[in-house]
Amino acid sequence: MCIARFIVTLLTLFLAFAAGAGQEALLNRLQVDHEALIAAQRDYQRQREQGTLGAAETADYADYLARLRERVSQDCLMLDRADIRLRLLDESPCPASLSGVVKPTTIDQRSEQTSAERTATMDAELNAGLGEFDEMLLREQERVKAAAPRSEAGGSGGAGSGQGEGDGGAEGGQTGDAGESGDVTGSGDQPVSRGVGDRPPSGAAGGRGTQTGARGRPADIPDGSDDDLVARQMREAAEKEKNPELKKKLWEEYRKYKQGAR
Amino acid sequence: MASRYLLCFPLLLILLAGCSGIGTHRNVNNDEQVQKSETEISEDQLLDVWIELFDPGALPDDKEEASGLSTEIREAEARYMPLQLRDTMEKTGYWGAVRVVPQGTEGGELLVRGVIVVSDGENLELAITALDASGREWFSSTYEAEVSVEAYQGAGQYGQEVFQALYNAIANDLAAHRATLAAEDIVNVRRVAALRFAADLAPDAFASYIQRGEDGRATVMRLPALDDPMYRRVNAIRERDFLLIDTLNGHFDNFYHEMQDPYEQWRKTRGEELAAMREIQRQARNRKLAGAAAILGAIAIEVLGGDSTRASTGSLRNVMIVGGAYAIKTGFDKDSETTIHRDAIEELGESFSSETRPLVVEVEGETHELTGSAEVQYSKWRALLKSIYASETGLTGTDD
Repeated sequence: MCIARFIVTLLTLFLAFAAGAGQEALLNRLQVDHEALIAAQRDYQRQREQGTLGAAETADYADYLARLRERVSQDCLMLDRADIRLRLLDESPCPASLSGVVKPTTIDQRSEQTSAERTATMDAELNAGLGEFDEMLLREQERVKAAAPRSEAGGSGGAGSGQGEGDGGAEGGQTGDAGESGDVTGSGDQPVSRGVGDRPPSGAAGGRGTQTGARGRPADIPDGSDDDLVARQMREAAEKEKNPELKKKLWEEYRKYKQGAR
Repeated sequence: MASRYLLCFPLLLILLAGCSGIGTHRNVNNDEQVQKSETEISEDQLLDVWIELFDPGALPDDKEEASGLSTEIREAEARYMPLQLRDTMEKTGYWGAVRVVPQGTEGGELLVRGVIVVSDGENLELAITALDASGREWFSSTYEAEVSVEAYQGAGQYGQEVFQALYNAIANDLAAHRATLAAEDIVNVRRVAALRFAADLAPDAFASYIQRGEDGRATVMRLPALDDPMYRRVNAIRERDFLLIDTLNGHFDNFYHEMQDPYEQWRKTRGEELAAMREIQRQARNRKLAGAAAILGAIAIEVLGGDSTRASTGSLRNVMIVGGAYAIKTGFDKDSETTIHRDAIEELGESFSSETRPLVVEVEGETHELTGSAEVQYSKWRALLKSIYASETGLTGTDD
């Protein structure tokens, strides 16, 4: 009888240990995936700004980021389902309502979630979908640029692309509050880019959604005293562009416009 | 009294046509310049314009007029011309984003639709309808322009569109109509567009924000709070919708640039062949007329002249009859030369059709792929927004 009790105790301890190890493994996995995602995003952004990525490499990289993002989202959902909270992580990649104190209960938390928690879970799902959609569009935009006729690709294109990563909205506390017109940032659930090729971005033409940045113009560009409204806007866009490649292309667009206007 | 009513009736019809914007027709001068905004328009007054891919229209019934034209060419033109209009409007400074969208795309603030009535390189006639998000029709007009073959000589060097004046006229009319709207009207149109998009994605939450009157016009009933989380979610999706349209326009741009040179060349060469054919037809007609006149003259002298006249002009009449007959024969011979040009026009059309067909198929495929993927994603988001709305409010809303 005593031996039986000893065996039951051992089994209970083993199961508890195994469950704890499983939780730890899930948290570790989330942490590793999240760190990998942050590092990859930074590297990707840096390489894009330096213009060291080709069209195919950019598409591959974007694909890789999307997969990482999906893993993080899945990790968050698994943790949520297992009712494991994220206090162990310094910087939680999951929505805020998922973090908190671990509840020492074994009942089905999913059915016991408050409406705020359910909303947060669905927001995370929505933001993950937005992130994936952004990545899909980014890949498509790279494809568009790669398929552009040679003369077109050489003379223009690229304005407005590559702003932000749109990391699927898995940031803690982010609940799908993106998309304010004109707010072009590099993280959160903002769209990955605005505008393809030489088109001014949707919702940004004529003054909507402008950015700020360093000035500077090539030597052959006149002072702009005879600019009409459109030329002035093109000039301002070129002056404000930080990415040297894009800046060059915007000036090229300005030159073409000025030639056409004469 | 009755005659006064009869006089008033046509006037009434004209006035009614003016009110509904139906049936106005403009013959566009080739020197029509596009009007640009002289002042910078504030952001809240900029309407985004969506130009639908045009309806290719029907080919002419007349075989001669339809020579060298094809439905494939029209399909390509229906994708090419909206981009020309877009580029023209973008330069005016009157508008926000100007984009080309597939037919039936919802969500634009100002929607421009076009039908190609005539397009043969020398003549272009487009039927254009513009209506805003509230459902108000701005106008519905046809625009017609004609260019000579010489117009292509200069245009090619500068990459200018030979029918640019026609696009300028459309852009000018849109800008002129915009100028008739009060600032509040424009703000209202933008609100309606945003709320229509919101109501489409999350009808439970936003369907009641706008109401349609009996005339089909949408009116804003109330506005969401600035920090309404559901509205912010919808706006996040709307931003993606803009991006999707930007991406589509990237594909359309590629199509445009690939088609530009062969299209220009086809129109130019077709115009040259047509001009040559018409010149030959004119010469043939002149010869036939001259021959017929000579024969008729000889007969007239024979019938009306006196004995002495007949005697003195005998050889002349013979020459006139023989010469006239010969002129008529050479007229018919000349006519047969037109076959060469007619065949050339047909061949040019076939060649250009085969060149554009793969381009159209490609851009059509890209469009379907993108819009199809987006529609699947939007369906998921609709379901998710419905659940979120139910979770946040405890309301289940209306069943779909």
